[in-house]
Amino acid sequence: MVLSMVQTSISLMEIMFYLKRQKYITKNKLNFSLYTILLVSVFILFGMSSQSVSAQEIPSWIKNTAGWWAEDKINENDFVNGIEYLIQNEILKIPQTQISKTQESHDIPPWIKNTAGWWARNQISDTDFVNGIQYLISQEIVSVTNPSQALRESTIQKIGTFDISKAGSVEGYDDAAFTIIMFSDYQCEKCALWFQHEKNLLTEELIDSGKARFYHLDFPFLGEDSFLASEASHCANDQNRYADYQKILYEKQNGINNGWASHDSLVGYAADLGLDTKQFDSCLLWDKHKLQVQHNKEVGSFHGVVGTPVFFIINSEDIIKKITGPQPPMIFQKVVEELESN
Amino acid sequence: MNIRYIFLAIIIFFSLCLPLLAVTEFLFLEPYVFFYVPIYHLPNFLSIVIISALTGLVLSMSVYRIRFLQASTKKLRSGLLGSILGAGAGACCGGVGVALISIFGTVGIAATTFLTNLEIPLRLISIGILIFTYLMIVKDLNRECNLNFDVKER
Repeated sequence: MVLSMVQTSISLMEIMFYLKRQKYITKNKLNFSLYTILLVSVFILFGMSSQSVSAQEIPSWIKNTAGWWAEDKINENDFVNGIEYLIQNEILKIPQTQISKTQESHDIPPWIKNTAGWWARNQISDTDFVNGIQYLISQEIVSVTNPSQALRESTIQKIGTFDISKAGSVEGYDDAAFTIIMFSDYQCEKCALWFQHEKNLLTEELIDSGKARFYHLDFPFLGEDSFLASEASHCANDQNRYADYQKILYEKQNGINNGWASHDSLVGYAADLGLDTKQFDSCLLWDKHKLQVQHNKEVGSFHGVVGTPVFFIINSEDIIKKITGPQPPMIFQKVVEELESN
Repeated sequence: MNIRYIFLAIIIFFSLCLPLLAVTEFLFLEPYVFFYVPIYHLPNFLSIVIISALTGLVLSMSVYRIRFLQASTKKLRSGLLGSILGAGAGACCGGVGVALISIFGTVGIAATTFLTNLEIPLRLISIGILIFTYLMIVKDLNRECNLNFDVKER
């Protein structure tokens, strides 16, 4: 768009120069027209850039979900819940909206659905779609009363310098003297092999014996499917099946971004596990756990994690030891013994 | 038998094998220096050892040909291609994969994806290239040495 605008301006200027060369216009007229073209172009470009800034406020993938709602692939409630979640977590940024005193009804008017469909097909601008959402907010059909601050300020549970409040689930006893934190990417083959072949022995030696607790934190860095798989594991956690779903993910691991961890595949695994697929699908569709996964990744980055798997063993005095790579349980045992002797 | 070239082959073998073992996480440096080959990773480990051994052999023979027989560097290049291909395969998650992603972003992810998804085929291609280069060098050496010998006799 910007490029074509610049090209048009240059073409117009060239025409003016041509007219001058052919002596159809005087030098003064040429200067005047060049300044006018330049000024108009700058104004238009400025307008376009400010429009594109506001367009950036809406992630493009929301268009897909708007399109699905317009095509009745998802229901009204799912759409409203999703939009509420996105606004509350500041993923979708909507200008401040006054709540209307004369509310008409709590049903979504059909024009909003049409607008969503048109917007999904790029027939109308982002602003038109945002107007529709603002209408829903003004009618209190979409509620934005609980801002994301609540999520951020929710219980921070720290072990050493690690915030493990967003970890999926914990294995082991509460009074265990050591904590093992694993940072992993579900698309990482070495993580999957470690989990399948070494984890059981670690569980026997350190977790079941009451010596250590085990936390799994997401560190998705191998592309979009890694992130989606991590989100899916938390969606399974909503139905109290985190460990089972995680086991399935590691068993199904088969390369990077080649479809085994696509949206449909992940929903398929949930179905195999007997989870409520409608709830699971909706959770995944609306990125319900996106911030949770992002948070876990940030915790990893803060502690210098760059690849996976990486483990940290922390004792009760908050002394931290790092284990890089898929190392066998005997190394964990040795580190624990070393920390014990300290 | 030239002991200096055997020595060169051994140096090339170790200087390729050790970094590769560290990158593919068979050799750990943190928290202890520790070497571990689990049974489920045995094919990977063997392929690295074979690639390193073949690279040592091919490169030292190529250097010998270039130094004493003034041969072209063509076979040295194909030997290097084989070893680079083998070294790059399966670079995921650990050192090289992370470096690729952090330096090249999306392109790095694509490269890591390619190298990881095709790890075994790439390693096999690499071994194939190195064996082919080795056979060609042996054939050339026999031919060139015989020829030189005949010339000397006259």
